[in-house]
Amino acid sequence: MKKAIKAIAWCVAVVIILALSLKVERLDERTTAEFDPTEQVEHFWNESLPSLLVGDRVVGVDLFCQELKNNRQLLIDRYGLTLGIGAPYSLLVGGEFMVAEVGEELTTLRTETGALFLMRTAYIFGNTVREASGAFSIDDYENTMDFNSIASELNDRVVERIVAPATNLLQAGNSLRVVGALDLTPKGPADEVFELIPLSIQPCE
Amino acid sequence: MFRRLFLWLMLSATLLFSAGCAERSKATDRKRMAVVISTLNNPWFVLLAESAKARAEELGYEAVIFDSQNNSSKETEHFDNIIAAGYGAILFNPTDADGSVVNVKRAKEAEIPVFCMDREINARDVATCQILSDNYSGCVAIGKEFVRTVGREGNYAELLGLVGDNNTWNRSRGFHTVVDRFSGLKMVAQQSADFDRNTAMMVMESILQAHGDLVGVFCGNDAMAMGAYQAILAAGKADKIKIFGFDGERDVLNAIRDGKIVATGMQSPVLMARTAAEFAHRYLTGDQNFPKKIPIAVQAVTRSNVDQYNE
Repeated sequence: MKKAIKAIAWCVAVVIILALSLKVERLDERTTAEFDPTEQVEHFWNESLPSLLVGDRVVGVDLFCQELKNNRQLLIDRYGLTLGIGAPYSLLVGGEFMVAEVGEELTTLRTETGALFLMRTAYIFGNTVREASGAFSIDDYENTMDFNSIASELNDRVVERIVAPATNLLQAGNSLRVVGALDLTPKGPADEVFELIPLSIQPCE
Repeated sequence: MFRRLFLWLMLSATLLFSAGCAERSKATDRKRMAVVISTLNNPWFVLLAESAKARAEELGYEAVIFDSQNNSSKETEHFDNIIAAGYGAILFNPTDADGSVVNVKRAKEAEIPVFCMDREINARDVATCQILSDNYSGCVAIGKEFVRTVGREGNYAELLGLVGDNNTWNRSRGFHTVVDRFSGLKMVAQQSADFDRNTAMMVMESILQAHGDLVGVFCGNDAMAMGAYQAILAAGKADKIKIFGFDGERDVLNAIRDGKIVATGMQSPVLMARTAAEFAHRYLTGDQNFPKKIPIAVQAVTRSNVDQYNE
């Protein structure tokens, strides 16, 4: 009898020790890192973005189209920013456009010279905005997951704070002044149609 | 008496001097590089290891490969030996983003530069440079392809890699950044299969028993994609469940050509390994100025562009 009690006591002790030594974590919760990108993105959005959009980092859309045919490398060298090796170069392009067609995710914009751009208004993914901004360096982050969460937060803000308030402006025939970010690779067709992620949408005066 | 004392002093000085020289020559044995790899039980990592070794040898170094067998203690033993043997540099593929930090710290204390390849460690100022695949962006591209292929509705599963590896989570996050925007797509199972083909096959078999209605499965690497394919094929659902991988292994490229797997992310193990060896060479020849992290772009490979990736 005594032996049985002793054995049960041992078993209980072992179970308690095991329970205390284990930490059960759900896999989907494991992805929730402690890093919160909102503060940094908010600071960038309020303090740096307004001056960035009117500064000399923005290439005019006409110059962009011209150099795309003449000297793509010049655009990359002068305006392009990239992350690591092999990624496209991200740059800021701005100017006046006419809304040609409004789609669910993409709005077609036409320049005065007839060049077409697809302005992305939903499902914005990737690093284009983060890299084109030039405001965030991978070396400043403990790990790449934190750095990537900056890109994701920026993309969300574009939808919430740039696209949503401009919905009524997105009608065929409207003239808009748009500044946005796009990706450029060193090689590509001269008539390439670029996806532009808007960072500012204003009606033309 | 004085003569004897003088001789003793001379002898001691000579011994101390030679010991010092030996120590110095050990610490500055710069013609050897160690290639420490998380596992050689996966052809992708074999390619990474062999490419690093080959490039180091081309640059005039003796290079030795150490297999950590996905075991942090084994990795620590390797670092002990490498530090004791006084290697000039370590080209390192870590087993664990957190667990491997201590090893890199010890190498740094021993003044041995460490260049991480492919897998990241969670520390900024310890490794000399980390050359990493841009897993997140690669999986954003895979996520887009997933939605394009399976549509915006349906149940799907995800097979994760090693839970302690940042690549696992960067890939998962990149994929979910896209797929989670479509409320009709529901992840009904998310399980780790440790980047291993056999484990993936078993995990997929059990997922299929509970969820026979899957439209797709996203696997954090190609070995798991091949394992998942075997399980799905055996269940007679190969034409219904779309499989997505990541790595760009030859088997999977062939499977994409044959329509068995939809897409993978093409990593560049050779480029990462060669860059790491070249950086180590630069370091050992005096250039010690490196960015802390260099991501290498990952391309999405589908049936439409798979032929660009012949061998």
